[in-house]
Amino acid sequence: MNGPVAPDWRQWSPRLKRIAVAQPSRRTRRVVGVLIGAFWAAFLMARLFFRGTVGLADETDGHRYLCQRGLQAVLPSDNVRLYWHIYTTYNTHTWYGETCGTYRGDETKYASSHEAVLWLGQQLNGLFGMPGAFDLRTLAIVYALVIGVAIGLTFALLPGNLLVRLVITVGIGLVYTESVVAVYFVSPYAEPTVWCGFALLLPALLWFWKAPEISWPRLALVVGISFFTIAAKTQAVGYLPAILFALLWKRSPLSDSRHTAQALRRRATGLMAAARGRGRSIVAGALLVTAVGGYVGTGGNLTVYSQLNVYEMVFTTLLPAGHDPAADLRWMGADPALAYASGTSVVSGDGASYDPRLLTFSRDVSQVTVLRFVAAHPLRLVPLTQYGLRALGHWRPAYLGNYTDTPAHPGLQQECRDCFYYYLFTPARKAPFWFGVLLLLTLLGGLWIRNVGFIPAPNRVMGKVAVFFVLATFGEFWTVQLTQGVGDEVKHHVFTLLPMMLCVPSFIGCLLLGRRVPDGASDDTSDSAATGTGDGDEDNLATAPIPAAAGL
Amino acid sequence: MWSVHQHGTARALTTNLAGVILVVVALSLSFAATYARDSKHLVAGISTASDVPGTCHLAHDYFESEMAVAELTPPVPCTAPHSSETLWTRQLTGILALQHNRPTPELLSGQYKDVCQDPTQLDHYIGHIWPGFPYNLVVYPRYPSAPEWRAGLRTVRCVGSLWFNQGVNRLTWSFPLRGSWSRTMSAIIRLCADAAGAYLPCDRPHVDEVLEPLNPFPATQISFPAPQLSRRLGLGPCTREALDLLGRKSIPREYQVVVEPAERQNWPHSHDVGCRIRSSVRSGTLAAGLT
Repeated sequence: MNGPVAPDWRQWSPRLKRIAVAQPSRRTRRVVGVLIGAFWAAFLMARLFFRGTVGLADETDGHRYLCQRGLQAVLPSDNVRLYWHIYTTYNTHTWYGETCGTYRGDETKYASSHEAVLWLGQQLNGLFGMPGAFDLRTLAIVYALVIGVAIGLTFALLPGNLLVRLVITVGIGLVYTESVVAVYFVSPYAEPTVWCGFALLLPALLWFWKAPEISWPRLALVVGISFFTIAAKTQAVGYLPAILFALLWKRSPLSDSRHTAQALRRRATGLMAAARGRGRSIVAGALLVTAVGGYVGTGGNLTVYSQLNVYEMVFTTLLPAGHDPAADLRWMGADPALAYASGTSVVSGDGASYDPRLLTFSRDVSQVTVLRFVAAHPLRLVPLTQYGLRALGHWRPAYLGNYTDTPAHPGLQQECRDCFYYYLFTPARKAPFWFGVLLLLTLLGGLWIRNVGFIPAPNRVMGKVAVFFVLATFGEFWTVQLTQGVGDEVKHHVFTLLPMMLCVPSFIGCLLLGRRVPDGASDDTSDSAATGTGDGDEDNLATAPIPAAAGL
Repeated sequence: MWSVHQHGTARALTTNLAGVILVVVALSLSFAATYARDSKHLVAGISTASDVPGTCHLAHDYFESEMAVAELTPPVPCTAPHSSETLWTRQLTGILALQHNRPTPELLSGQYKDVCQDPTQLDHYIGHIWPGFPYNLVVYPRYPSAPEWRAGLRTVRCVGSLWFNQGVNRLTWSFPLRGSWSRTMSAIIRLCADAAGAYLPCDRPHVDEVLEPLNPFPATQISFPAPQLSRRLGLGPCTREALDLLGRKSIPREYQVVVEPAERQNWPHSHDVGCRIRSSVRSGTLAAGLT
């Protein structure tokens, strides 16, 4: 009888295994990269839309972005509690005077690159068949596609065999579909623009690091994405140190160690190329810092929030962390009589925000004063760290709902369609000390893979990735802690959670790529072939080990 | 003629210049994105000076009313639906008024929370010489815009809005408040309550029309009175108030005067009892003599 022949899994299994552990060719990387990207875009959309849209309710901060695009939320009534549900549809509306301000009807407009993203959403809204002049779901689709592209590109640019790349990109994908991050994709906030920028930054950095030498187009791409990301929301400025470090962490080309005239010439050429490249990185980094400074200084956001942030840092955070608030205020040059307000927030009825003496306080105490105070009282870093870790343990704010306003979903209901990292971090959420352990392990993993001799050169880029995410986490953690303290810190620390979660796939990547690889395991015939002119960092050398001394 | 070295240097310079330009362009594009605003729908507000008493406004949402420190949207005719009316103005004084920049909303609300609280002025504005209780009106301040403040303007507008509302949308009305107390449409600025005790405007179906609270206790009453005492002492004066409102000499059978006893939590600062006229479900005010 002639029937379908069952596949012989005993034959297939070794073949699959061979494919999985072999270095993928350029074509394989492209094809699988596209598939991976499409999968994550579809998965993100499914987790946002399947069985009802989920997102994050607007606690009024979202208004400042949408109103600048002439948009007003369509609400079922004037009396709805904005915090409780998400309202996705917006109509065109003219805003007069200070009704479209940064904070509580202020004259300034909140400068954000998110405005350009909203503009794009407005253009695509009709095309996607969405109601109103703009619908948050339109942008959610765009965000999902961007995240898919970023993950696909990351897959194509990562080192390692198919299996390793898959494992790492699955870890990355789960970060962007994790509830604490994903709910922002259906929200009026600027965070999803930061998420997309951060997701694209990884392949851009991989591309930059893999180049044989530092080239302007790659620098421009990294710097452009970085600035777009930071300019979406000033809080993202905490990523800047990590980005600068990534820009400058481009090792000089390996030199030929022989003492022939040709080798000496090549060595000299290499050194010159390194100096030239480093100079380019420094110039690009300086331009980025200047742009960020210009954005923060002129965007108006600082004007509005500096007083608010100083209040939260001093009265809500630093004074309760000490034993003598009056003495602390005296140190800052402020009226010690305001010590009664220790432990209050701006909106506390019994706080100093209603006290005319705050006028003098606001004149005399700035964010620089706060930083000087912390520098002079380094022990305050202990409670600051504790507050920050506690906020990370809380994971997400409980005062904002995730569902649309339907009878099926009571106000403030939270969704958990993908809570992979929430559950993975359960020990850390209960004992935030483990967050520190994760960062330390990732940092060590990253440094180890850069320095151990037997590790194939292309795999070492994973070390940079790991260290980049650790620095981004660290930078963001302290940006939040030193600028806003415990004012709405759970919500603010989502910027910290993002790179922290990304530390997990980075760390796993370091472990997987740090294994000894038998000779001849690579079938890569593409851009990883040795050219003899590269920096010996990643793609430009074959998988031959390089001396540990050249690691950093 | 340039040497090979000079050619190389020139090429490097050109490359680097082009590179720097490329980076600057990338940064500029992102920077420009932060100003991608729809200027057509972001319009300057009217001036405080033009928002004279008797000017009406229609707030479309929370951001144009509750969140706005200096709401200066263009006026709408007071005979069209609107959500607020400018009633009178005041000049700000004190330390905050001396500041060059407008202080924070918290400081303003803390220091000037009573700047617009003037029951006599409100009575005068709406013509409250007739009995009744205009308790469904709330008066609150609107400050000059930040540029106006910097220019030295310290005029605060006192704006009236309806307060209690059982509907799903912000309450609007379509008549000027000035002199409106003697008109039947004043029902919307009078306070009533439904069977569940929830306050609402008197133009909505209700069972109680709320009258002016009063203190029926002798000065010797120091301790908090039992509810029965409140009701007993309050019934006479509350009935007189009800008769005034109804324009009658006796309470008709279909109505009942209800005394709300003094409340323990208010007793330290207020000995008032509440007075109401209870009826079957009805809409509109019971006040007599309205046009």
